[in-house]
Amino acid sequence: MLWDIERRKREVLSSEANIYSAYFIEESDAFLWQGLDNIVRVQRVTGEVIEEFEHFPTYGHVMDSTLSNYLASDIDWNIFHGHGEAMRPVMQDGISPSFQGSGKILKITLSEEGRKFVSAGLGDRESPSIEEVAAVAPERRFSNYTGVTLWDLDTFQPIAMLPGNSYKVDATISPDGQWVVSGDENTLGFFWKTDSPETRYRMASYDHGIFREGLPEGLQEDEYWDESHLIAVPKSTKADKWGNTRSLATPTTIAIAFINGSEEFLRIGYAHDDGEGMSRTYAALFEAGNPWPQAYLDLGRNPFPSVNNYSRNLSIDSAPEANLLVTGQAFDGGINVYRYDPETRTLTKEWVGR
Amino acid sequence: MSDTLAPPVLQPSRSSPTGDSMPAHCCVSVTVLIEHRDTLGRPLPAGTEVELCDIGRQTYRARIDADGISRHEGVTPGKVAWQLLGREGQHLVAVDDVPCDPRWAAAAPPECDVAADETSLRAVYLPPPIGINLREEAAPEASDRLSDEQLEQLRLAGNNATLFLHGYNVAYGSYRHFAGWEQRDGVTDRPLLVPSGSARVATIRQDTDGLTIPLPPGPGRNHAISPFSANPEQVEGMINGSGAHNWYVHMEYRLNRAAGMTDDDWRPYTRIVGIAWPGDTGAVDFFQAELNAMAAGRRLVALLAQLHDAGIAINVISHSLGARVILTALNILGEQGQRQVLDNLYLWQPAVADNALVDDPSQDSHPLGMGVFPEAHKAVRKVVVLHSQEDGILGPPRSETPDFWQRIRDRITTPLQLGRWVGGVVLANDQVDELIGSAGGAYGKKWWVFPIGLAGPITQYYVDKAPAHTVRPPIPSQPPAGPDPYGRERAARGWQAFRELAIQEARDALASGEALPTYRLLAPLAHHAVISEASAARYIDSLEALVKRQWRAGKTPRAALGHIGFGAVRVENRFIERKLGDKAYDFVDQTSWLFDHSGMRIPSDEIFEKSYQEGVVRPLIRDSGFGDYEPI
Repeated sequence: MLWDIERRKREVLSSEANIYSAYFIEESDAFLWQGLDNIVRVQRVTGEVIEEFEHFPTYGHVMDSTLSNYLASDIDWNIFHGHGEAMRPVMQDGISPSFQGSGKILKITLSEEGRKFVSAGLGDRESPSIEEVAAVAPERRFSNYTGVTLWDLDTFQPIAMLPGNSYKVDATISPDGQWVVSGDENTLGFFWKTDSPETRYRMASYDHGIFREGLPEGLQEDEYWDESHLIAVPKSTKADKWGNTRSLATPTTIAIAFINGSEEFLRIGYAHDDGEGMSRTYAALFEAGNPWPQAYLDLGRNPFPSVNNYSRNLSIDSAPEANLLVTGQAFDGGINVYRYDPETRTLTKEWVGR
Repeated sequence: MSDTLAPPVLQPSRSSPTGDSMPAHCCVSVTVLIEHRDTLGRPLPAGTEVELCDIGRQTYRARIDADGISRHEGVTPGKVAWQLLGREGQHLVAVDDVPCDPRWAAAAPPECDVAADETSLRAVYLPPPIGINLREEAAPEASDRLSDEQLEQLRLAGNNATLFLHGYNVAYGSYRHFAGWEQRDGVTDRPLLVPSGSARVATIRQDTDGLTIPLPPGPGRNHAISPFSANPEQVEGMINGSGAHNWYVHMEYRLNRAAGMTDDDWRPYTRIVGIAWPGDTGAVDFFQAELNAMAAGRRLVALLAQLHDAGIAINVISHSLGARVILTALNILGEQGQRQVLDNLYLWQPAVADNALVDDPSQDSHPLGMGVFPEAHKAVRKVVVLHSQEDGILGPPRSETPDFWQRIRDRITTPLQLGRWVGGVVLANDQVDELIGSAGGAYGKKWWVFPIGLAGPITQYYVDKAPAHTVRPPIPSQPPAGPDPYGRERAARGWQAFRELAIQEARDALASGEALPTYRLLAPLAHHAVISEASAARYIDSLEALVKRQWRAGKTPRAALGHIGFGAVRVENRFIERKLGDKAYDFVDQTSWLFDHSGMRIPSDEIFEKSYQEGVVRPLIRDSGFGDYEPI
């Protein structure tokens, strides 16, 4: 489906498309999609097909604006560059974790400006270094590279693994290539400056602030936490099953997307539709390089955004320069389009495409 | 199963001097030397008897010598097969470096060519299974620890131990037998050697597919007319063991498969340490099962200490109420000042409160202090909780969860209603009973939500232990007349006596000098190493208060950790949030794929991949070790 946000129209491109294959090329009117016939099309919004080629069924793929660098992930979360005869592995070091195992798509984001890209699958609290383990080692069973990894967009070699997250992790690189930001299923958020990836910064816990790492055991619990810049988390109007009001912004992260150039991003929680006044659809707004949530912005529940299923994590994406966020819908095939206003720091649902 | 019965092509490592194979009718005989080792390179114990069978179905017995070799003389040239006698669990996995599936080898042992004058063969077997029995009927003390051979086995197999603790209502059970050649579909020829005795005892998991096992004649079954075959569930019971042993074979097999072993080559197969404990108290007495779990946890301390002292890395996987066993042991170790005795603890569908791992006893919602294990976190490096809101046993299904608890709360707004609710443990047709029953599945057993199910079992537990007029309050005279018409004075005297008995028990235990004395009146506090006199008095105070409130708990009940994970507790408790942030606690939310409390025993492909492979084994191998499987 091609959605025209300005004219609020849609066009059916195919009724037999790989649901994980929709991708817009940066600063371009061209996009990628793959049919169930496994043909990948590079196509303009005008309908002109620039290129088409046969490929393995992709579970996430990207292309840069030169149209010469094509990266695709397969079902086992291996990444390949190019296609056909020219295809070569970038990351191929095991069959686990995988799409089937984790139930999420390996996320790949590019920064053409910074000539880097980031992949994010299943986070590891700790990882070996890129010197210790090869990114291409097809004989392996358990992968080392499926956490958050920073790559060079010219050499397609790893720059660094960025460990710290736990289980399903989403991460993205800022359009200018300066920052990598991550959030995971187990509520941990981190960020890194790409010029010094060995230093990891921790985002504040929404409820408790910044955890001060490395302190000895046995202190008062408050001493482990910096809550100096915490802001109030929106609470439910109704009591939950424990009889308590609950936070409506969950740090259990399904997606992270830059919303205002490379300045600000949204961290979007995984949630089910628990009814009016109960659903955790507030996204946290962060500034790049700042660990503190700046605001909590509601994505609403009519229709409920596609935050209820990790296998649809790629259905949440943004156009950072246009301040646009788009999500799928949890129970329908349409899209929710939100526009962010950097002045007022508010998010408005601009269109529900059906 | 993709296996075929064809034995591997095995060549004698030494043929006759001429290189010719001898015709069977030749009078020349062969000396067959078999070197027997386990997958860890150890020769099998000297003295083990080996029975070899030649093409004439003549048998030749010999004993394994100090070098692990059995020598069989006078054998007819041609094919031979053999079995070990009296060595349970040592299944054949390779001959002359060619792997064989031990389950097929047990049905039809590989047949190897032998030729004059002498033929040497090298046989490799799995090391035996390792089990520890913490049930009351098992022999005390000695059996709580591993033998030197078992320790050596763990040392050689990667210097790590993976302990498995089964859940509630699991009997001790036993291993069963390998499916025989005649039970395997498509096999018509009798093998040279049909294993017997210990060689038939199956300590590894078998596939139920491809087997036809006739059921013995029974009422309505006449084999002469219509043979009945066991269905897959019955086959499962016949071949894969019962009770705790059924869990061991499944868990051990899946862990190995998840680590990368294939059915074609069992040589990397790593034995776990199966721990049996008495959780089979009947479907209704969860409280007694909890006490049993804590008693077993006290005994488990010795094993953990033994492994720790031996420098063997310890990882534990518990299912359901098995969590209480290991958390008791860890809490005790933590209280004793032990640090990080365990590498990783995987709590699979833990039947403990969602705040069981907080460090602050005041957070306990359990009125008797059984809910939290405040020191447990100190004795383990990392705790991973595998939970599912679709468990069905630990809580209502997710779709019904939000208003289920609200409805429970609504129903118990008055003490009178509460009394009826608690009475509902024994009285049918109670409103709440109905409500809980409607919440689906085995949740109707209602052993999880406190205080349902607590009043009855506690009263029962103390029936022959507590003084009169305590847990069973005095019945007022009708009409109220005479001295002490409401029994208040009798109750006060009873509780005072009870308190003194409890204090005396605590005092005696302290005086005994034992590190882990056995408690009777204070058994609900058995997750503490030693109980002070003050704690004993406080416990009786709590119990008295509870009885006086008609068993009404002072705090809202907690959901099960195996149901909701850390989701709720992390918001209210900074310690939990810190541990989650500091990689000491972690969790796997299996809600979208685990729909059954025990669904991991015989897992779907999805459970295997998501829970076993990515949730347990990959991090286990990376963080610590499982056998000799490759770490990074």
